[in-house]
Amino acid sequence: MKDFDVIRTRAHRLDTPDKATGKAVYVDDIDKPGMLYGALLQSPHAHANIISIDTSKAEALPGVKAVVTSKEAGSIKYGVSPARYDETVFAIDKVRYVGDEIAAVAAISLEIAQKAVALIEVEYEILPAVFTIEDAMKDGAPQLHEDFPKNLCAEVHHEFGDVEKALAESDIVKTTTVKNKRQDGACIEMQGCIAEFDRRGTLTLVSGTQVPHYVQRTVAMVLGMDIGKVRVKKPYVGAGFGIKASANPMELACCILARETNKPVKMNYTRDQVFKLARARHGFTHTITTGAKKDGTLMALKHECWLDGGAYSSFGIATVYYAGSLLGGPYKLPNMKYDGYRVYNNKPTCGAQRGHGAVIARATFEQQLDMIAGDLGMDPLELRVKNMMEAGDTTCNDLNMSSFGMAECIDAVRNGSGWDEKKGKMPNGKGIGMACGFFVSGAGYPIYRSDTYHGTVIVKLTEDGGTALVYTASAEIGQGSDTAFAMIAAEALGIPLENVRLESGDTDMGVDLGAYSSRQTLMTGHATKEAAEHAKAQVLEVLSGLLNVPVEEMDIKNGFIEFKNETPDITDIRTRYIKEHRGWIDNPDSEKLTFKEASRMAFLEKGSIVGTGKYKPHLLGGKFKGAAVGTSPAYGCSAQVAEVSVDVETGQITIERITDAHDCGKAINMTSVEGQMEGSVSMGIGEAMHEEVMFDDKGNVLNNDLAEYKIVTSMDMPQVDAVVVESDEPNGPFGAKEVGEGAIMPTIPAILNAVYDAIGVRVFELPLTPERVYWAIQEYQKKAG
Amino acid sequence: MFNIETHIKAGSVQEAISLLMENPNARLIAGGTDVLIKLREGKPAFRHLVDIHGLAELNGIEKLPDNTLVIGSGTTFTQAIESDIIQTHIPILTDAAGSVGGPQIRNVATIGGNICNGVTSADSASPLFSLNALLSLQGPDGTRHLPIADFYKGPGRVDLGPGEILTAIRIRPEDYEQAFGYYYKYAMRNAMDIATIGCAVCLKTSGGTLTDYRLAFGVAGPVPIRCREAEKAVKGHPLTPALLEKIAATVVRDVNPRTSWRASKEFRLNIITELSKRATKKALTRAGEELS
Repeated sequence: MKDFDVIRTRAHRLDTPDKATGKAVYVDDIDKPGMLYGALLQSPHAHANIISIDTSKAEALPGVKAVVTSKEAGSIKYGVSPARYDETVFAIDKVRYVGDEIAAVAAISLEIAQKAVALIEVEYEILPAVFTIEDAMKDGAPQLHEDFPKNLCAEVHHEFGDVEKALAESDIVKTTTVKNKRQDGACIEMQGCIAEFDRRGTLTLVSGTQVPHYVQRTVAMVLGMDIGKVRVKKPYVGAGFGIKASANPMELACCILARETNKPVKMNYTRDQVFKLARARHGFTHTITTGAKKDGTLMALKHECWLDGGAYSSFGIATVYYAGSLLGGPYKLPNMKYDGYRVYNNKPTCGAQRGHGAVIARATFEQQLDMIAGDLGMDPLELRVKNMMEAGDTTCNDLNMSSFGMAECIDAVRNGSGWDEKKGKMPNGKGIGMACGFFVSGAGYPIYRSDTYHGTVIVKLTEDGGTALVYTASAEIGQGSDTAFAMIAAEALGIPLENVRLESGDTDMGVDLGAYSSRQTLMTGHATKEAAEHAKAQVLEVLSGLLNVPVEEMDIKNGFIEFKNETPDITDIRTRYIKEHRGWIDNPDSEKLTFKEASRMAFLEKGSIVGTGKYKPHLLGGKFKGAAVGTSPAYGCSAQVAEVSVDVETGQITIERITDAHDCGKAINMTSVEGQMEGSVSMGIGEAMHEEVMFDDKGNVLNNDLAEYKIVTSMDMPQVDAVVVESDEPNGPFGAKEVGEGAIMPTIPAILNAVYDAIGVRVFELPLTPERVYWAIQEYQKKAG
Repeated sequence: MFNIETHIKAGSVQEAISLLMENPNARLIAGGTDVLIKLREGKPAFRHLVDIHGLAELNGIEKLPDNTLVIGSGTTFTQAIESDIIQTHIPILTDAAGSVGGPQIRNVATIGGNICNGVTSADSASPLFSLNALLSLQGPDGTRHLPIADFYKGPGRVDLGPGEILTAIRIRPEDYEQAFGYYYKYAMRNAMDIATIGCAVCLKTSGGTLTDYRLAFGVAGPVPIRCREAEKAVKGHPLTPALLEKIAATVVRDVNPRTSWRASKEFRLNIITELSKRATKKALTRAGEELS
């Protein structure tokens, strides 16, 4: 076992003092002198041509400083995947969902801005709208985008091995269809931003985003500006979950209003607008056929998936690929066929949400594994152990598991939950179920095709020598990344965590693709480690000259210089350091030479000591079309056991306990890892039990607040026993990999399997609302007689 | 955005009544947990507010010399939960108060507001129906006492005349002494949720029979209701398992749930019958009775 001083501990988070005292500054806490307030005009219709827009009454309202439409915003298309840019800031000729942006107003108060929005007169020609996959695909259905007949936004067809042959050779073949509902990310902080131009034409956008880098690029592209003239900063952010992982129309509108008024402009989404923007989990319909041998060996997986996409593409192209590719593991599966389709319709746009594309596929497949185990008379846990991949294995679609503590995870939940004592022995109405999952530690490629570094980091030592400053453009959104990188820098430099300060979330600090695809710990972590090591090397190099000791015979540990062989005389350095600091009270008196003294000497010799670090993954994945999606330098994996009780008369399910094991490689901060695991469980339970965005027949969201869209409360959380499994990831910094998304994978299927164990009923439609469960039980009982 | 045009803090109930008489468009605000939501939704009916939050006259829970319980309408749910008087004599109201929203809401939301808001899902309403509570309504012409069952006129509509304020809720000794109750809230999650169905039972037993039985529901119709048919059917019934079946069989005649996107009528009916049995059983347990 490697010996670490800072990482793998339960260090206090850097943001604890701010957050615990309520002093943390989020976008809406910021005010600028002379700031204006912006408001959006959004379409009340799901599908309509815009005949005319008259802004004169709005412009005439006292206090209004600017009204902008596509006339000011232009017609540059943007989106997430460059191949499928299909949005403009404001609708030009037609609107495609209730909420499509048409105009924006900046005024001296929000009230006036909202009044002005109401005064904008738009003449619409209402068009027939489609809200379901079935209706959107019908012959003669209204088309959302001219270039995409049948409203087919994207399709994917992959086959690895020979699926039909393998199914024919299988002893048991299962086919099931599972449907979920659209989710909302339900971030507690709604999106907000402030845009401001300085007198030299530089635009600063302060935004509650997960991805300052992509927002910077999109703003620069849409406003026709140099990237160097656009700075995007994020203050504290109240979660993202994927919903804030791309530029949103409000950010762009805000920049345009700031340009037109030459004043700072603030805009915020209301909760209703968050539901309208959506960009959250798609509605998926998966039909999966799995074949296995009598001994439980998995033979083949045939998979068809339909995605309810909404009005625009957003992340959808990646989503439809992920939905297929991430079933390639964590089991040895030699043959896999996938046909995926994403369909446009006149509802808000779906995008990426925690466990991008893979969560419902996993829920479908892991249920099927239990069904197969049931038919074979095998313990479902044993079936999984039998088929599990190991470190070094590569899936049929070319995903390489460079480390894989799956067996340890299964062991941990087996023992932790008392699986062997409980499985098959629970009283009627109580059940136990398990599932596994895996996920990328960062997408192998950026969203736009490029050889760019995925992260660059600067570590600068202060002139006194005592403190290391870490500058990263990565995004702390509540997950604890700032703390993780400060810990990595401290570990790599060999100094205590309290001697590290960190600034993040600012595009001026470097390149960082941001907080999505569970990438930062591994990727930004690598760049941080490299930058810290670079700074350390410079200090040791100067010291080597001063002491005449070779660099390789020295190290820095806990803030002191360690010498492998005999300790040289440090008197000269200490005397010089103390002279330098005459009159100061903190003169070192330790026997050992301190990092501070050495670092001060390095400054005196070389000026500012600046270490730089960078990271991009090695070449990953196969050669087929779409091979990039699903690739990653490393994969986290997990297993969970859920215990439930089902109230058969009312359909209510109570999750009694979740035992959760996750292999995150070496844990940087143990407490943060557990926090991500518990947060994932909470989100998974919400998705399994309650969450469903509902629409009326005009495309309006019915449950557009957090009273009616039900995420779980602390009162709904079961006991969660989180077990951190630490493999040693060769591609990770200090062996670390992801935990943010992989941890959600097993939650839903573990619950579904536990419900079946409790009552013998399989429910193939999510969420498991009491009514849905009740009717499923009724139908089951009727059939059973 | 709150579009509040006038907001006047009343120093007394009498002043609040005068303010309401002066401005017929004004509405009362106490805890604000319902009013502020309506304001946020831009409902113009709440532009003018008379604020009775924290009025001492409206606060307090007491037991009169004749054993009548009086609960001030400004009593918050937290105060109700912490009240020894309620805990001892009408724990059904502790059940209900504890099921409202979350701690922050319970700290400010008042029982009076919960009743006057006029919604069928109000957690305190059905228990008070089952307790035959009387509402003290003070207006420009004095105070009248109205049974809560007569107070609800329709969804969001209650029997408050011009300038009238609900000042207190009274529960008479014959309605709670030797009576045992239970409130069963069926909701989609364990906090921060309104009832899909709320069921309140208050009963008395003697010599192995049910001597008094009061069953009330929230969300089983447009307003909270008492289930007179079911009550009539089982008064005097021996304490046997058949009792519960009889209640379940007759309660469907009393209720009128509707289908909404939150739940279907058929599902609500099932929950109503199931809850009528469960709440009754729980109340019997509190009474120290067992069905045999």
